[in-house]
Amino acid sequence: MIEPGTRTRIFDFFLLLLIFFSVVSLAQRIGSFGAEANEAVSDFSVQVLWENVDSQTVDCLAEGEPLRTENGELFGTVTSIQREPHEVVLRQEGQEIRKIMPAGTTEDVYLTVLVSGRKPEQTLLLENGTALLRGQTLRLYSLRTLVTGTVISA
Amino acid sequence: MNRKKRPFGLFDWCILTLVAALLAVGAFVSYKYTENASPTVEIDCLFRIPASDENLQFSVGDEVRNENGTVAFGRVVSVLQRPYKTVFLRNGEAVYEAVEGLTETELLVRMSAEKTEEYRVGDIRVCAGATGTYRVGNTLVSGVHILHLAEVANDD
Repeated sequence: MIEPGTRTRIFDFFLLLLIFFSVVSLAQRIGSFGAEANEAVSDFSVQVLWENVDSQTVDCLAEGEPLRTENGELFGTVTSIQREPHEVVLRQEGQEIRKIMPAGTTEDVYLTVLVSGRKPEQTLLLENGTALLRGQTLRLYSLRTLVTGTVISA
Repeated sequence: MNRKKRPFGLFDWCILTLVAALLAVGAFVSYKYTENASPTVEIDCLFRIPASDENLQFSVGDEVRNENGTVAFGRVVSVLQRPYKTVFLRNGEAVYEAVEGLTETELLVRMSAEKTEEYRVGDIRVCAGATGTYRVGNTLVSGVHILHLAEVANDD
């Protein structure tokens, strides 16, 4: 009961507003927890082809390193680096010749990256909700390297 | 004025607690940021300048800057020039050999970079595999590829 003569002050309004917004955000949070629980996040292996890259550049990337997107968001962790010599195709007068580039020049690199996400149907969705599709070009950064690769399996 | 003085109540205590909590959080965050100021390290970057028939001259000590000259990366510590090699078809055979008149240049540039989850000079991220335009000495060079990046070993 409000005593006669007692006035509601601006502080009280602020407090009421604070409580109101806290309750609203808590309710939203509980709702989103529920939604996430329905689609559990798990780890998936994604293969990325980093083509025609200098051997010295590949040396700058190591297994276990995290890969991040342009804005610093974690994409995944490199679990395997498979290096293969880069092959060039030369064509002359209908003739096609394949040549493997000499060691220490350029290579094709198959990276296996462990990412967290959901696969509700056939499409892999990353934790932030973006779809990861086969054929998609990615620009990912490790501590020392920029990996420009194509998703070959997700 | 005849205003009735209200006693210091529960609401006032709540507000005071809230303000104190906010101040504590602010102090903690500012402490964390000052504690974790990113360290500066010396790095060596290997720049490859695309093959060219122009007689580009670079020397040890040349300053390397970004395209518009606002960020100084560092200085050239070594220059390597060699004939550009590629794959040719000769008599139906693929051969890997030098192209006459084309020279490829590699510059080793030493710079001081801020190290966090990446290496940065000013607001520019430096990483192997990146391509860009740089000012080397008084020459503007496009299509420069960073081949390799390594921290300089500290003997201390």
